[in-house]
Amino acid sequence: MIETLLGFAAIFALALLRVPLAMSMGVVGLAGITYVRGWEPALASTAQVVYETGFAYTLSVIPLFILMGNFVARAGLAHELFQAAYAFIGHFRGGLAHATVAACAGFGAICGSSIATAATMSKVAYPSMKKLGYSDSLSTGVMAAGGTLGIMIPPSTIMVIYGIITETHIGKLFAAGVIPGLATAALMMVGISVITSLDPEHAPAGKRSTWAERWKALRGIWGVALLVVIVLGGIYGGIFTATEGAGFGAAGAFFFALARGRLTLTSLYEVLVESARTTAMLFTLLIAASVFANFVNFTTMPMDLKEWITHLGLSPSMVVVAMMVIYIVLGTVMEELTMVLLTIPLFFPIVLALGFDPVWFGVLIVMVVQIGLISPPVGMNLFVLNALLPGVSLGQIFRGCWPFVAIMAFMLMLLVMFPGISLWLPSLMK
Amino acid sequence: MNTLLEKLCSLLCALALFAIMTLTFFDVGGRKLMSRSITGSLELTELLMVVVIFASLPLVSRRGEHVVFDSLDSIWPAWFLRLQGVLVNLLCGCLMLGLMWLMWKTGVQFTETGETTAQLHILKAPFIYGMSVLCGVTGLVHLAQIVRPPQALQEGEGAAL
Repeated sequence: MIETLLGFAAIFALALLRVPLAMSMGVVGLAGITYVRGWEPALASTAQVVYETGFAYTLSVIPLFILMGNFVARAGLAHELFQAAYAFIGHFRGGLAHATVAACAGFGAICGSSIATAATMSKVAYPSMKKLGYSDSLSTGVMAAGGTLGIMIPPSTIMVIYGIITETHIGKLFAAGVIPGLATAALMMVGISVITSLDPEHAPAGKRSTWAERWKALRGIWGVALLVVIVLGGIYGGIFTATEGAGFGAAGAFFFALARGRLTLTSLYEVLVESARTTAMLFTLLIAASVFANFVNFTTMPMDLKEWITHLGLSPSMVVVAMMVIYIVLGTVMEELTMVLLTIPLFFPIVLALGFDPVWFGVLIVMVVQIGLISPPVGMNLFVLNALLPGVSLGQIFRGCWPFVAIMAFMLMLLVMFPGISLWLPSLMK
Repeated sequence: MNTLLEKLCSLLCALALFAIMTLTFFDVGGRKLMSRSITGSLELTELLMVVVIFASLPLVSRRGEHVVFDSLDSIWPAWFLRLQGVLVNLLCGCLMLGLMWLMWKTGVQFTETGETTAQLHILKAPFIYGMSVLCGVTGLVHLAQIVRPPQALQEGEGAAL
């Protein structure tokens, strides 16, 4: 037990000193195994982890989903999604803001990244909102919050990472994210209605589109809608594994971008290298996390923790609530991937020992990451918008995101209280 | 890292990733629609994954895209950050060179046993030597950054979340 705690402390100390997280976990894991088992087993198990993680067919799901998202982002589809959403709900007060959330949800169904979703929307939705006189804080708040739907609505990179580290079924995690993602989008729209009714001048309604215009707008997105149905429907229906679905989706998105004339040889090359780099960055983390997990499993820590928790006699749900509070606090100051990777080896065995469903906990993790991404002072979505919209100050963006942080915290509470919201859909899977 | 090496690594990982995508597409399509899969597609994907991951590793290090906890950067004085940069790169460089040695040793073991993939009988050892060499290149990238810090520290975390 003591050696594991020292290990965690060492990782934190190294990370605080700006040593890349992967290196911190790897070196501490290696040193730990050496201490517990000796030098030879430590080297042998590390070599095996590197070899096995490298040569792993199922892990090709990671680059393929990243590739799919990057192709779709490149295809310039966000504009059509936004147009289509606007055609249907633009005539409400704050119509552009509602349309932004809807377009984010749609984009999230094909892209597993929150940052990419927010960044894409800033190019499409912000100019329209600015033109109609929306306040900068409302429009950036909507884009930052809407962008986070990208990681709850499948596919989702963070869900894949969680699934791999904890050996949870990725298809089930994806299915579990659908209802929470859509419910969060709906709550955001309710929030927008409230905000805009308090300040109607800054969020005028648009003109009502005719049904002819609506059908026309839908025509722009049918291709990608079909891709979503095939990939996610295929995974959900058990026709594809997550890996196969990702490969199919990436190729589909490639043809889609090609057909729209958005892909030159240079941009194809850029997309590929960019996706490969993100992959390598994630794999160093996965390898290091496995080395460290090997060390933890060599110690008595998992058993001790279980005993300790039972001994404390806390109610299981209180333990989860405490974890969520820790996550929300950490999320304000830490970058979220770091937060998740550092805490999962500690929290996940407890969650399992308490008898909770790992799929449900995965959805909670995604939700706290969503919240962390838009909660100041350190929120990646906010920084991305700040970088992309030089005319808007960080202060305005911070002001705009608070209502949505509150909405998402409320959603988190619902998810904790009613696991069925997450678990009903995966329970129908074969 | 000189541009030639950078270009070579980029080319390798781009081609391998494109190949994985194409392979999976035709394999899955063939299997679901015509009940015919591509022989050895799984193991080809595995070999290509090694190329994607390890060829882009030097690029990630070169661009400073590893996930780091940098929330404290604003409170440290410039000289401390500089010193930190030197020590961190020294540590990362040594670690990656250590990994190079370890994977080379593993490669030698694979050469001795002559282990191949199951269906296509491709020798695995060359790929493990490749891992080793690219880990070494990554180590050298870190050591070079002691003298010349990367121009733009762009974190890759954004791309993943």
